This record gives sequence, C-alpha cells and structure tokens, in this order.
Amino acid sequence: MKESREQLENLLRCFYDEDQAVQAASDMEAAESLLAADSPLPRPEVLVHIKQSLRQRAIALSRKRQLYRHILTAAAACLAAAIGLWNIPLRPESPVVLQNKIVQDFFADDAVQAISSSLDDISEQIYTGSSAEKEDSWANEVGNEIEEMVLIAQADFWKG
Amino acid sequence: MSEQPEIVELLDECKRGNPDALGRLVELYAARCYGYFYRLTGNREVSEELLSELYMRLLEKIRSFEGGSFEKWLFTIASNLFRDRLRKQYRQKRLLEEKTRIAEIESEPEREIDSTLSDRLQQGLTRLDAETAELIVLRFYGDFSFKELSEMRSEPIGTTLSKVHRGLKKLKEWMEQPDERKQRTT
Repeated sequence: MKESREQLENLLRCFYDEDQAVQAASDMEAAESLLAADSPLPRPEVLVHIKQSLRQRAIALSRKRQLYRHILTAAAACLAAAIGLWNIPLRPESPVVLQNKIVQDFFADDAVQAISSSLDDISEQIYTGSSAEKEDSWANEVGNEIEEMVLIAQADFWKG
Repeated sequence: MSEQPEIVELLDECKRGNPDALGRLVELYAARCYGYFYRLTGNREVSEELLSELYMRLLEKIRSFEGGSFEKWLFTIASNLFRDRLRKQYRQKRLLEEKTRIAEIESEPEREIDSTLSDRLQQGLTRLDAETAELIVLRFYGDFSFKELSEMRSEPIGTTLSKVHRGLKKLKEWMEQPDERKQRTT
C-alpha cells in the first residue's frame, strides 16, 4: 500500500534535504492527481465477455480437477489392493501336499546314490543265491556276468 | 499485509471455482487493471485483450495464492503480462527489421498508440521510458509503496524513488506546457 504524505516525506528526507523532500512530495502528489483525474474504464461489454469466459473456464477446470481426483482415487484403490494381496499369509499346507513334498525331497537329496545302492543290493542277492546253488550253471553264469560288469564299471579305462 | 476478511472470503470462493465470486472479482479490480494496461499501451483493444488474459491467468493461478496482499499479487501478474507483451513486440519488431533490412534499430520497444489519441497524459507517459512509465502506473493503479516497487524490480529503494520522482516531475511539466496542437490551430 502506498505511503501517506508524511511517510513519503520521511522517505524522501533520506535522499534529499528538508526543502527538496517537501517539494518532491508535492510534485509527486500533483502528478499523481493528474492520473486520478482521468482514469480510462473498460467497455461494459468487455467485462460481460470476461465474466462469461471465466464462468466457462471455471466449469472446464472444475471438470478437469474432478477427473484427476477420480483417476487418483482409482490409482490409490489399485495400490491398496496390490499391497493387500502382497501381504496375505499363505494357507497351511494340506497332508497331501506335505506327502508329495517328502517324496520329492527324498529323490531330490541324492537320487543317483539311491539307485546305485539298490543295484548293489540286487547284485549281492544274486551273488549269494549263486554260491548256495553252485550246480545251477545259469545262475552262476549270470552272477559271473554281473561281477564282470561291476569290474568294468569300477575300471578306469572308460573315464578317458 | 493481510487482506480484509470479505476479500479473503471472496478469494476462497474463487479458489473453489465459484463463477459468481469470480464475477465479483472482475467488478472490483477490472477498472484499475484496465487503467494500468491502458496507460502503458495507449491502446484500447490491446488493453482489453490484456485485461481478459489477466483474468484467465488469475483463474489458473488463484489456488497458488497463499495470502498476503492480493492486489500486489494481482498487479505482479499484470506487470508480467505487460512485460511478456513488450518482449513479444520487441521480437516481432526485430524479425521485421531483419526481413526488411532496416539499419536503424531503436533501443526501446515502441508502445502502441492510437492514431487519434488526444489524451495528453497518455502522450506524456509514452514520452517517458517504458520502465519509468510502468513504475509510475504501477504505483498509481496497484497502490504500491516504494518499498514494494523496489522489491519487485530488485533494485535499491533510492533508485526506484528517483526514477518515479523524475518521471512524475517530467510528466507534470509536460502537462503544464500549452498544447502544441491547439497553438498550431489558433
């Protein structure tokens, strides 16, 4: 807000001497009164037009803001749903699922070792069976064959 | 400085997009803002255009108004609009000059003046340099103190005071001189 005459004179005294400050304040006041005497005004139809444009623009802006608000609300709802789903605890496992898991774990541990130990058991059984019945040449032959295969398997030549 | 309660209430309504409140804002400040533009441009059409543009910009920015002096805020927007226009005019003028290869380049952008202008005050203002004229008009229509003006222009208060004082003094002298055209006709 503009200074009062007194404030203006005080301000002018910071830059001019006493008489000059009073004179400058008077000059300024006189010149400003010229501006006050003749102030142009806008045509009434222009003001009507501005008001109409403002009304239309305000409605458009309000719709735009409403749309943004809806979009934001929807986005927030999606985010909340996503966070909710992420945090839902898993259901306790059923007995069937657990059983499957145990079987899988058994084989996953060391499947190769399990198979080779089974093969050993079978060959052992065959071997012991053949010594008890030495007359049975077929069984003896099979036993020899298996023994030979085991020897070949244990040999290093095929490893390269 | 804080605003009067009724103005604060009116501005709150405007922020909510109430068309009636916006209309009231036009009634309250349009005359002063128009005067400001008219005294600087000297052209009725341009001033009306700037006034319309000012209110549209005000509507877009009103939510960012956080209190203080509304008039200062409003006239700062008006001043920026006027300066944008001056810059645009200056660029257009430069382009035109380059195209037509006119060697004479004026340092000050020309302000638009009605050819039928008989307003001596307007003539006086257009004879002043653009910056001084703007300071005078801003002080008068925007009701700005010298402190506010100097803050707006980022210059010492003494500089602003001196520019306005010199400008107003010149204006008063020109106004006191007898009308040259009248003398020519008699």
